[in-house]
Amino acid sequence: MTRRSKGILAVMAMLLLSSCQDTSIVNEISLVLTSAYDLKDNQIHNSVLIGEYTEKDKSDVELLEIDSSNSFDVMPRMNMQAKEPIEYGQLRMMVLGEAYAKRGVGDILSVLAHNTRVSRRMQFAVAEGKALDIIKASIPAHDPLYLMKLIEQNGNFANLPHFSLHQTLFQYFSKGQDIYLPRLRLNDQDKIMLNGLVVFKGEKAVLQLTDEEGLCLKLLTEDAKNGKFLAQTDQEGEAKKQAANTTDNDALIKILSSSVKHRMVSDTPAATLDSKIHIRASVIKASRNDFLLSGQEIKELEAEMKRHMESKINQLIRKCQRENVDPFGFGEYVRSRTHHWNNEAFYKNYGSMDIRAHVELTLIQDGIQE
Amino acid sequence: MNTSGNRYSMSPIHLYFVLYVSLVGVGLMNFQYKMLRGAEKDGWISILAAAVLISIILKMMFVLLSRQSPGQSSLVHINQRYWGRIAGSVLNWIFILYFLLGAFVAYRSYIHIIQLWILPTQNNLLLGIVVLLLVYYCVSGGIQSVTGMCLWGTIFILVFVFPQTFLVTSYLHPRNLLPVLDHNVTSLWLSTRDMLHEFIGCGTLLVVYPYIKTPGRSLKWAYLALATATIVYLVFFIYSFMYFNHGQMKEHLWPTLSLISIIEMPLIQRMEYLVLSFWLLKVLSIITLGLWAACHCLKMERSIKPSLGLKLAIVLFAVLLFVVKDTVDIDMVTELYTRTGEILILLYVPLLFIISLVRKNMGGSDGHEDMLGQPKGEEA
Amino acid sequence: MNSPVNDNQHKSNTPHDPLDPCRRSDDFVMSTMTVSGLAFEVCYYKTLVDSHLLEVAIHSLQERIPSSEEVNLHDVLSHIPIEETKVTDQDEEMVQSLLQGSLLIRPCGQIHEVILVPMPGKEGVRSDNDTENEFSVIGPKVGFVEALPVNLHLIRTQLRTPNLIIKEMTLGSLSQSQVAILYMDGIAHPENVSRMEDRLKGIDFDAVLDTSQLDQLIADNSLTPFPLFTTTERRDRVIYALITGQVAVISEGSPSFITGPSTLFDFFVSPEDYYLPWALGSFFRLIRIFGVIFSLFASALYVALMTFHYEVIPKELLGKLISSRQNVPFPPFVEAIFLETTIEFLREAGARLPNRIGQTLGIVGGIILGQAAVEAALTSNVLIIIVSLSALASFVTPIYKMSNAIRFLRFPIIILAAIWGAFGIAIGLCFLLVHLSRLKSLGSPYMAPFYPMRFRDLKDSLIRASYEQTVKRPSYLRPLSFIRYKPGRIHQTNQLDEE
Repeated sequence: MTRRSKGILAVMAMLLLSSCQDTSIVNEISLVLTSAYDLKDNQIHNSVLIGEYTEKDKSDVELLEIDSSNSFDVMPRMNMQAKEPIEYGQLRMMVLGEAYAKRGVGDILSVLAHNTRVSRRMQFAVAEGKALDIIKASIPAHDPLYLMKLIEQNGNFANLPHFSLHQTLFQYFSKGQDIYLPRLRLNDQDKIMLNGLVVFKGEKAVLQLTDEEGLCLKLLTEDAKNGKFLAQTDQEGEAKKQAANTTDNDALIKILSSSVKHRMVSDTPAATLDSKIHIRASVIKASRNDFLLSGQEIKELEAEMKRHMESKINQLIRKCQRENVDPFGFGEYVRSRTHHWNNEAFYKNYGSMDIRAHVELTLIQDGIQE
Repeated sequence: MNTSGNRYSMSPIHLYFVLYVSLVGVGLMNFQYKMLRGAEKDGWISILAAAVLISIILKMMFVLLSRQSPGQSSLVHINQRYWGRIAGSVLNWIFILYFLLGAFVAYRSYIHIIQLWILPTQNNLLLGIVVLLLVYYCVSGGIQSVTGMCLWGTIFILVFVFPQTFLVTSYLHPRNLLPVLDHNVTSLWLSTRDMLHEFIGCGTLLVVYPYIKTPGRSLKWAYLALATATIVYLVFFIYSFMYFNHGQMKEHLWPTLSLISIIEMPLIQRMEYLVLSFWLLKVLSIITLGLWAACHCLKMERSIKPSLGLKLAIVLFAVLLFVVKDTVDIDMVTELYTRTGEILILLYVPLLFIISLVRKNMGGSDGHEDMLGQPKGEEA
Repeated sequence: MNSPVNDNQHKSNTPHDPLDPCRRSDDFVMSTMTVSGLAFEVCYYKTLVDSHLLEVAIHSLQERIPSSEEVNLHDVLSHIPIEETKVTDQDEEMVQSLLQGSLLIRPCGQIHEVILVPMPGKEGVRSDNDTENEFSVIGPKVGFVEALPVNLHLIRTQLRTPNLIIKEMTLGSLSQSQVAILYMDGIAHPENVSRMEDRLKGIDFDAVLDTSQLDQLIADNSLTPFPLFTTTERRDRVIYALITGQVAVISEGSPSFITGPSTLFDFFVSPEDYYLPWALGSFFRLIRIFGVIFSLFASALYVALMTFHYEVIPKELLGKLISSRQNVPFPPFVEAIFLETTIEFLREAGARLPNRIGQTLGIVGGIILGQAAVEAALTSNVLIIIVSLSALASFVTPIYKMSNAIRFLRFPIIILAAIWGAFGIAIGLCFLLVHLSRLKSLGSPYMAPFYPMRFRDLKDSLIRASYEQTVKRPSYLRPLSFIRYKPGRIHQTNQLDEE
């Protein structure tokens, strides 16, 4: 028995010691929470925000930067500056510089796709100008997750579509859809602001969309909630000219829920697509500064808003068709309806396809609310 | 539980757990990736087709086994009776090695996945040895602890892992599965064959059968196990293919784990770390079932004491742990296992079935001595 | 008067002696006395009757009856000074009265007419026999004392049936302690009884001080930390065990019974569950089981997550957890072991502290030590919360021995978590499950009704079904009779249009 217990003790000691250096104890590592990639004179410039939690109840950030010749070894090279090992498991936000996005994001997406430690809920953004400026501007907030929260919150409660690494990878690897990412810029007071979307063709950024167009995209691709849009209403000539510079004639509509259904009208390569969007919305402010509308007025407002949205959405679709990008996923939709779909043939005819969007709008009276 | 006799007999409910464990192997984690070679998103048809084929095989096994006399209704005896001493021995040895190989494939694949996902820098050997110790402890308890482990493994998967997958619903794209039947019959057949490779573990029924209390009435439990396994595979398949598109799936070697990765609960995110670790319960039951079947057959065949056989098997596994080092080797061993399984389960079992129908015997009208010395009798 | 003799082997000449069912039990006494030359049999259950009063009664009887007269039963009757003495020839009444604690007097050789003398019962409990360690808010708080006859008396007064068999034997070469085995004939499976008896008979020990020593000596597996027999001080628990078909054992000088065969889930059952409505009882049982699981794995999970799997921590908790560990010089494993050991010190010391010092030291130990450790940055406050919660949660099991097992098992699991993270915890859990699946208590599986799975018995394991549902006894005990009672119930029918 003694020999056996000695053996057991030896084994236990071995086991305990074996894992001594493999640990990543959570307060002895540097957690990268936000990362930025820029193109600088043909070199990749990577900057990261690391969370500093030395003080209780307060978090702080630390900025580290490194240069490299390709996208793949920036991560290991960053370690050379850090006093604790750098870990990417909690990476939640990545900002890409404009030049970098234009050059192509395929590298970074491949790296992220194969790295199992990075969460699939990570957010992306494209910066106007340099990504480094954007993340530097977020430092005063002392929150390393500031940018991520900005984008998530806007996706849930405002006009921005939802994003995640998973969705971006999904769109990237799909033959029938193109990537779109939110766009960040610095406003006059050097505060970070969302400024529409950037649509990619393959791995390169090509097209910018405004905020309103972003809302239209959201309506076309997902079930939207909580978006708001301002629409001008028709007035007879005089009144319109007078009111041209004021917002008196604008109606503010809040979208409560929406759903979208696509329909293919014909099957040939030059297919015709019909998209029907059902929107349930509430009126926050109607054009005449009236807060309570009668039934008839609501119907009129509905019709106007419907026309407004339809025209905006169709304009967006035309714009994308001209640039030959497909962020809506029409290709995916047609693929699901066609046997042996060929993406090249489809996209050759994409520009001349007849894609129409119809909007069904139901307005409800929003109580006493601003 | 019957303790007055010298044989443990389990109630038919346990057949459900044992068979579920044999049918759903480690392949649950990456079978979708294999589907990409064949039917891709139409794989659900393959899954259903494979399930139907296996249900036929199960029924054949049941009929085959029920036509034997009660003391003789195990694989070893069948082989010996039908093919004589020598050929039967050879076949028994093949089956013993087959069960061992199955257990080893599950063991090695799981250690490999754990190393890749959770503990990349850990020493392979230590992980492997600890799991082997666990396996030894379980199998040395006999069929009781093995069946108990099967119960816990099944409950773990069905109660804890399965419902979580429904949390992924908001990320799904149902359109991925359309259009239906976009592939020709060849690719569908290829995927059906891959799925049959998943279900091939059902051969343990042949060894477990004598231990079931009322074997005649347990067919429904076997079918229930097959139905549950099919549903589990179907759900994971549908969810993975709705979650990833084709191009994305090619980049992911273990789609099930990547799928679970996105689940986020109030106190825990990245569930796959915990789910993968506790998958040990399930994998352990697979390994121990295979090992136990092999040791039991060894005892029946050569009268080698099971504890000795177990120790030999453990040492063998430890040695093979060194030999089979990386993905290429593991794939090779898995290929060997599935090919052998195809022949044994899909071709040999129907052959036995046909012979049993024709022969209509069971207790040894060909003069072989009954192992338990019981009087020989005829069974319908 | 002749000295009382245990006369169980005495077979009556006449075919059907109404006292036959009573003879099976060792505490049934039949002795003879002579009154004016005539021999009378005096029968009683010695655990129900106060022997001092008996002596007095018999002695006074012998004195009152003049020695020369011919006496028959009615003469004796008239001389007994106790009220409500009567003569009867009803068999049922004889047995029932015996069980109520009466004395039965009949002439030797004659079995039909007897005198029944009701005797005042034993008071015989210690001045307080409240259960100290197994407390319940509602329900009887009667517990056992250190005297064997008193304990047996307590059981007999609640199970007034001749089917309750008490067998006695002597164990311990130096202590020569009386050990009693109790079971219900007709319910308990004879194999369980014989196994218990054989194991006890096979014991060779010097001094049996407590029934728990017997528990370990006859255990199926001595290497397990889990208790294989339910140990209890409460009377209602033992009664319940007996009526479901378990066998109970107690030794002299010990206030606790052990009952077996028991399962893992018996240790989570509190008698209070049965006194409360079944929904509440089930809820509390589930809380107990959750408490035990939490207690086993919480610290280990903390160690695993902080050491290996930082990605699993949600982003909201990240800041809090990291800042709580700032400047702590040890890895989480050492921190956790240090705190767990401290709690064990507290518990061990608290069990032995004299009352007055206990409270002060409790405050010092618990609160001040904890605060100081956090402020000195030797541990993190999150871990203190987790460790103290799990220490608390380990005591939710109503039976003390199980909470010991859980407290002990936490340490290997923490060690495994420190080596391999979440995978280590899984390995620990697997070991535990395999071990539990292999355990047997008196030959019957420890994890019943989960393994082997018996749907019918699941009703009373994790949850407690209503009294209408628990009509049958648990099948893992293999009772000879399954039905406990008939669930009649007056159903109220509510018509919609009546009030």
